[in-house]
Amino acid sequence: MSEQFSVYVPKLINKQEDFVHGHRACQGCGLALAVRLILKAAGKNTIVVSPTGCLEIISTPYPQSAWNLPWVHVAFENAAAVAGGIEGAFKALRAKNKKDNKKINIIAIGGDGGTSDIGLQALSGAFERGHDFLYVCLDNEAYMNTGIQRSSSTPFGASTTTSPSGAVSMGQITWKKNMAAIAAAHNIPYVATACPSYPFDLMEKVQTALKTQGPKYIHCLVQCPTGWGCATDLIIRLGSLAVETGIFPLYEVINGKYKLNMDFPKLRPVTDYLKFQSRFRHLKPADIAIIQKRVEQEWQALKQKVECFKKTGVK
Amino acid sequence: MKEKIIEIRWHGRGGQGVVTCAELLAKAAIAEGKYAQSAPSFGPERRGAPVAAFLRISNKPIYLRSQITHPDIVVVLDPTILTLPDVTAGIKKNAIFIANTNKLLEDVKYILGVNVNLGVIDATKIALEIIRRPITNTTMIGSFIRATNIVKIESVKQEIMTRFPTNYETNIKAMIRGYDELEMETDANRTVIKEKKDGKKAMPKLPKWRELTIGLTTKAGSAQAYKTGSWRSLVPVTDATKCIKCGICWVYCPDSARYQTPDGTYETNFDYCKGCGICARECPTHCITMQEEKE
Amino acid sequence: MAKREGIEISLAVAEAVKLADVDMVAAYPITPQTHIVEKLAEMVADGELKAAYINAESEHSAISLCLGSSIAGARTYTATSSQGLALMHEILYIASALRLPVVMTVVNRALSGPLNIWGDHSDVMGERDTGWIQFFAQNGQEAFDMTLQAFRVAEDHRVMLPVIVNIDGFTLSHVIEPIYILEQNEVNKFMKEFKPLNALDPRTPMTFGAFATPEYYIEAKKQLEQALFSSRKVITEVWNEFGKLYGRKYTPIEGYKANDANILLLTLGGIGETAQTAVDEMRDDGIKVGLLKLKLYRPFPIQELRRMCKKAKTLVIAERAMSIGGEGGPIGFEVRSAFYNEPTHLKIHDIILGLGGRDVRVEDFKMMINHALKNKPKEYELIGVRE
Repeated sequence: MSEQFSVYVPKLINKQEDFVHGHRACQGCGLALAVRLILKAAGKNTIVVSPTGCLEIISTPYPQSAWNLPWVHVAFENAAAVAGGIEGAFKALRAKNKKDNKKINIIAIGGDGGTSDIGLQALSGAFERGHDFLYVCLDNEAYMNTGIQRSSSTPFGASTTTSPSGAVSMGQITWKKNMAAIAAAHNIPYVATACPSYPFDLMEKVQTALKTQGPKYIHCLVQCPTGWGCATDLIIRLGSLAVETGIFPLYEVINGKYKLNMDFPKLRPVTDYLKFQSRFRHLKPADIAIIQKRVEQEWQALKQKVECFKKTGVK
Repeated sequence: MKEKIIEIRWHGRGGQGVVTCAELLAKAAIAEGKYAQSAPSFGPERRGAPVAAFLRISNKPIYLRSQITHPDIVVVLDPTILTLPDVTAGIKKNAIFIANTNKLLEDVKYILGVNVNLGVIDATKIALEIIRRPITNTTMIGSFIRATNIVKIESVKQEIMTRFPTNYETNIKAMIRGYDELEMETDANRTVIKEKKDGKKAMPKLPKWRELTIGLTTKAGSAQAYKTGSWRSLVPVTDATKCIKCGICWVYCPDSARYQTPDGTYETNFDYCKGCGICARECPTHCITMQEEKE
Repeated sequence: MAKREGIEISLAVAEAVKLADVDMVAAYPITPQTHIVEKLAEMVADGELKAAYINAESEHSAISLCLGSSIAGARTYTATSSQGLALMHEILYIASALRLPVVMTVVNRALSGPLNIWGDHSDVMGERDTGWIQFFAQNGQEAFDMTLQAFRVAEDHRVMLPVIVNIDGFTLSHVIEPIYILEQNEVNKFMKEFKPLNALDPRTPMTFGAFATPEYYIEAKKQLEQALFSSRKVITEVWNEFGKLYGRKYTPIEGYKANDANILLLTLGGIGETAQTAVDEMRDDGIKVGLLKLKLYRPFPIQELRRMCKKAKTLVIAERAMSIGGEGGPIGFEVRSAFYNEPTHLKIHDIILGLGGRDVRVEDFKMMINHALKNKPKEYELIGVRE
């Protein structure tokens, strides 16, 4: 391939594909796209741990695997613990001169259920113990693998198979658990939010995280056309709309310091995002107004955190 | 057919309502006082992937929970999967086979390679006209009823009304057109072909227990052997003259199914493209259009 | 030379783990396992043991850390009891399916509820079908020896399976008694370097933990079952080698005055030694009683059991676990079924006793034997209950 043709993107991005085609993800799967990009950013010297979930099922039906890197799955709630075990073992083996000192990235990639619900305890334990690993939550906002049941990461108002909208129900009545804030509360050195609609941002964050010593957390919104009820070709737009409406702000928390990656003088109305998804189709204007208010509040709170650190000069 | 259990297998793609077909007909048969049993097939494949559903109907109680391996009737909802060996696997001699296709009846028979009692219907066209989406399940139910006469169209109507309270009218309309427009072979105009032998060895030879890897380890990247191109119903067509070689389509493809050609423009890897349409949507010069898949 | 020491059995187990030069210990504290892991943490803190000691936030994570560690190529150890073992339950199956040679001491304790911290075998009987090799120690020396043997068996490439060494809570774990603690240079003659079959390594990428559809699952289970069965050969080899090196002989079932016995007792764990005293006393009274001590529980030594019971008329099983709602205890079921299709007239009495730390005394065994000599066997009997 002659160099002159690869002028734009390909030149900047690792061409190696370590999440290979042949995986069984749905058409237009944001999760598969995110994994592909994360692995491009991480490079060859990487080990991936996954809990049970969509990602595991679509990528490893025996005797096939979509992973070109070493990959391990043990169970649903323990990806962070397994990753911690690998990291601890490498450390011990190196201390005993049984392993060379070449850096190996350890990345756990789980879904929102495996992270914010059943895997939260193991994740908290791993953060607290300070394992040198990156945990990426690919948040598609419900248990998609088992058929779109709600999780603690399902947004307010979304209709899922276990939080269905109905005559006396508006769907999910709880607010999305703020996993990035929970991670940041562990005082780990690096926390970020990301979305594959912003591939460079996502990849940069993965690289920044992997350069940082200690536990790192990236909360990545991934679009699920099947679970969200949206057109498969719309997912990139939807990710951008989630960010532009303030529903899913992109930010980093570096050593406790908040940094907003994308600021907007004025947020787009949340309906711009909600209207393309059948999971929100039942919402009444009053419900949407509640969401709008909450999004603005949280946006302001986030901006205050960013400002606060600017003023106090915390580094 | 009185004492017999009739076994029907439905084929389509995940998300097309294949399971709904089996369910609606099972419920309709049960409402008529018959015995019926519908079951989905479970697997790792997702939306767009070829899937199957199973239906048994009988006048007597059904004491069977096993899978249907030798169907009396096969219905295929998606025209692009007629070539897959799964659709004819284990099919009984002179079984009824109903295909959604715009091809001629004789041609379909050659594609299938087995001497079934064939019926064809362009259900996609009907569905697009009436439902405005290529969801062919209710149309195919109509054709099924016409070809088999196992359940009454009235009882299925009831089930459709219960199932689709807001859009049952279009679905019933589609069903009736499916019923009316089915082209079925008769004894008089039957096409007989020389059967392909390979149609029967659809099952790949599976390893013995000693041949499994210790602890079930798997070779890295081996999923490439699984071609997901058959999941596609829409295909991206690239106008290379408009391509500015930016690579956006390549970056955003969840299936890494776009690649750079020697001249720097991008093309689709049809072995793996699932037809999601992201590349077409995101291309800054709109050089990609999604078109209906042709076999 | 091995030193004869008066040492608490938990600490002797920790010594064995240290002598095995493990790379990783991940654990969560639970009574009565605590003395083992406290000692190991101390050894790591003092630099005596070069290993990572990871304080997990639950037993579920402890065993998960162990799986990660083992798959990364490190010699890995953990210990737990009771509820902790139950919390690990899910992961135990995966450890054996992934063929990871993790070694675990289970300090046997009753399961809740009601909460009870004292010894019985109800915890480990729940893990019977997990695909782990299981040893039962009857005293401190065996607890020490079996811990070393466990690593050799587990890591043998013909085996590659996790191993549980069971020691009774308190009545073994917290007891000080004389134990021969081997010197490091002696242990080095026995231990081998751990070479994983496959490890997580970017240079040789591989997928671990793929899922199996119905087309593969049975074959996968058959592979695991056969690995467990064929580990018998390796266990025998390792025990023979151990015997040659250190003079202590191990067999799947240890017989005591069993050869000419009319009536046999069968025990697991520490109550075997109490039973031994009962046998001696009853032999003095002229009763031809013998004792079988089951030391290898998985894979179950069915041939040895049949052989050793050939001459006896009656077998009395003394077990410390119930199978509530089933007509017997877990060992009772297994032993009875071992004889069902055999041409034998062996009468089998299944006695459940010593639950939740209730003391098991010489008199209990005497009573059981006398009772069994006079009465026909019932499905099972739970003894020591205040009626």
